Amino acid sequence: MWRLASVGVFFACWQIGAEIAGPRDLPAPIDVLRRLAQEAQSGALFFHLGVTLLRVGAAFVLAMAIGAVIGFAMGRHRVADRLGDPWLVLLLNLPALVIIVLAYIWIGLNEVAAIGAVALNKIPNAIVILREGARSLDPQLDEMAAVFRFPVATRLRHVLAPQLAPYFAAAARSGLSLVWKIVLIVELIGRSNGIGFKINVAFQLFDMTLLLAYALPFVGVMLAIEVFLVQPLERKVSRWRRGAA
Amino acid sequence: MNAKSLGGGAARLEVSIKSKVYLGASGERHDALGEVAFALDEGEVGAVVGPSGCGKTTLLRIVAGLDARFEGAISRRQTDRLAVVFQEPRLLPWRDVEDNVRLAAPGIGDEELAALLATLGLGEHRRHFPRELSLGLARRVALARAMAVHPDLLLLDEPFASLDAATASDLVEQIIDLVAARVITTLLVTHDLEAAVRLADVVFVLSERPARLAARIAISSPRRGLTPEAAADVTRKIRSAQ
Repeated sequence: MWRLASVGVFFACWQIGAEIAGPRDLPAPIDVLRRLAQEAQSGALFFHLGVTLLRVGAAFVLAMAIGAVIGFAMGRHRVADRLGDPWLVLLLNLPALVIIVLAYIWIGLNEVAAIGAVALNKIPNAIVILREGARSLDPQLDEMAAVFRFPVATRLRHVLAPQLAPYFAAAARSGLSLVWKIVLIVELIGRSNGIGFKINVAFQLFDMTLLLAYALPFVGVMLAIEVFLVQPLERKVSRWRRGAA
Repeated sequence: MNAKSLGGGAARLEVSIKSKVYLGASGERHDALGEVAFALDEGEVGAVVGPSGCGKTTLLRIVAGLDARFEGAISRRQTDRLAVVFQEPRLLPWRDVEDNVRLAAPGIGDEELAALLATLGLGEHRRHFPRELSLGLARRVALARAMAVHPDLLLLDEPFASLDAATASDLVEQIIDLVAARVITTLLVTHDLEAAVRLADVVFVLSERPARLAARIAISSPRRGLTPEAAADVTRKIRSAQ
């Protein structure tokens, strides 16, 4: 109820803003919806949305997989941590834009560079979170599993995974929001399709209606993924903690 | 460190520790254990007692194979199945009671599991998660997990610590029943002299840290057959040896 009211207030403010600023700077919600319907009808909206989501998915999976493996190794082994830490600090402090431009220059204006650059921006973040997860693993449970000779698969599934799951979920949640924002920049700079590309076109034409018609549904899809997929997953992996003393 | 394999003789466990040293953060030596040597025959229950912090748990960890940095040797049969009841129950918090037992003993049948849980008074808690259990119940789950693997050698680390007298007494009785029914060689580490005397065939008394074996006191009477006077006499002997 309150959320609906909040959305209503948002659209009301938008409408008032549109009337004050004029259609060139801020088109009215109804105009944006009309344009959105046109783009959807032509199929262009779904094509560009689909391309961007594929890039988000590929970069996200790549970054989480690499970040989880490296983060786990750094959290469990001191030598790996000491070796990897300077690289981690460097990557954490390297601006996303620098990584993107370097990737395009070194690899070329292609999908490998685009997805690789996005993944490289997320990997250090995933490493930091999973490294904390690996550091917080309970050594007492490790010993218990060793004494009772748990097979490797049982240890991974029933001892390690549940301890790392909240960290993985946190990395996934923060990662998704980071990845989709960087994908738009990557597309804006060096791709000929995707939501970022369309936003670039709209910017060059100073077409605010087109810009919002592409930006809003994309934000909506990412919010839906966050609310209906990531958050329930996070709740599921942490449900055994509920009610814990 | 030296882990040896015993042959088919009567001894089920031989402990022969020369020393155990911890190195501090700045390299300083902390002697945890001195010379400790004893043996347990098949089905024998040994209790290790000693002052707080003398190194009892360190000794148990060495016997369990969890600490390999020591001078000396631990000998037990290669084929022996080992189970440990840790001082902290060390249950998987995301698994219920039944799953915690089943994960350690995947081959256990439904009937055997139900009977084991019932014996330990856990029948109505089988679907409870560890956070829903009291410490006494959690220790029983840890004991059920240990018994479910059909151990030849059972190690118990302070199983009665932090329990009220009645709960601790019940747990002693249950351990006596389980160990006697299955002929399990058992090493118990405890500061509870009364429980040690009730449970053990032989009590090993450790000195102050670094612990050395100060005395070996055999208890000849059968468990539960010990008169209060005899128990008090053994307890007195243990106290004077410490």
